[in-house]
Amino acid sequence: MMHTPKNWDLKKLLDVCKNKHNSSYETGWREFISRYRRPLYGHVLYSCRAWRVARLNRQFSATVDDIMAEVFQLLMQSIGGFRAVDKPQMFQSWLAIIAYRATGRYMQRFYMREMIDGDMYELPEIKSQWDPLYRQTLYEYVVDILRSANAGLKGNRERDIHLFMLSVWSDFSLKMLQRHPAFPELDSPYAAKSAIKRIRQELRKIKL
Amino acid sequence: MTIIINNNASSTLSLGQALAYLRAEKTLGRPFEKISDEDKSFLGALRKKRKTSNDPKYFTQLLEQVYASSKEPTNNIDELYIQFFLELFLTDSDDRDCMRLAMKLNDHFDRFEYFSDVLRDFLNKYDSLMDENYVS
Repeated sequence: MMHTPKNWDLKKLLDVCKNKHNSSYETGWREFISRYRRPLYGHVLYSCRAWRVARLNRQFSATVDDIMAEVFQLLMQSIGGFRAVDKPQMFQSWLAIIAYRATGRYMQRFYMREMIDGDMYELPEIKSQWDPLYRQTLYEYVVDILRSANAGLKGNRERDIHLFMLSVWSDFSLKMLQRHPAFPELDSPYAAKSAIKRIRQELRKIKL
Repeated sequence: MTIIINNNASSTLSLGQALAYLRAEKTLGRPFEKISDEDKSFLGALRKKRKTSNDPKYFTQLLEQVYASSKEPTNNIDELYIQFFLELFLTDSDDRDCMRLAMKLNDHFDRFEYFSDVLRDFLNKYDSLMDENYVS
């Protein structure tokens, strides 16, 4: 009976799933999906609600399905890293962390793309409903991407990143940016506009 | 977000809005009379706090202190931040190097949020005061 995948204990299941050369590899993953798809789906669903996915102009279920695909990709890469194979309860918690992390990464890329395209008019309102930790992690992610995407731009780069964040994150208009008291050089009508345009052009070159 | 200084808790003006009043007073050359006693008291407290300095490096010194401060701004506004904002919003200068300020705000989400709230309140209130009171 112990040879039936349904009867495998966690250690056996993970041993099979982390080794691509194991003859039962595919069987192991089928069993894994059969056991854990439902709780993972629940975690992703919960996380999507926390990210206010329903407010976006896209299908909620399609977003959840996309993220589930990424959850399994992430699991295939990281399942060998789970050590407490004799503690199934701890494994459940670890799965939840993987699901939240995959959802977070997906949403960060999603919102980043929206910011690049400049279509995220509702962002200031949506983000006000997020957990403060979500706001902070997305902000830091965006700044990191902006810095790496604009690594070649010296001089005013940090100022331009700040202006971009005021524009897309805090919904400042160009007129407001022109009157930023710390940067009187933005006084000309096109200075703030071209700074933001420059950042967007650099961002469009990178693959998220 | 409404930011209220502790000892002026009865005023409903945020720091950015109060700074807008002070800036508009400077532009118009007269104080605002039709505001509540609590708001007048708040503006008076801010005026008293403002340290005028002829030292051209005063703003830079304040900036250095803000950079060095590990204290996150909170709703109970720190003295240093009040001095910094008073100088930033009320003193005109074309000779400020604020690139490190931008870097600091990019590095610290909480400070960015706080700064953008104060700046937004300031700009919106200043515009509305000027629309209401400017006589050509």
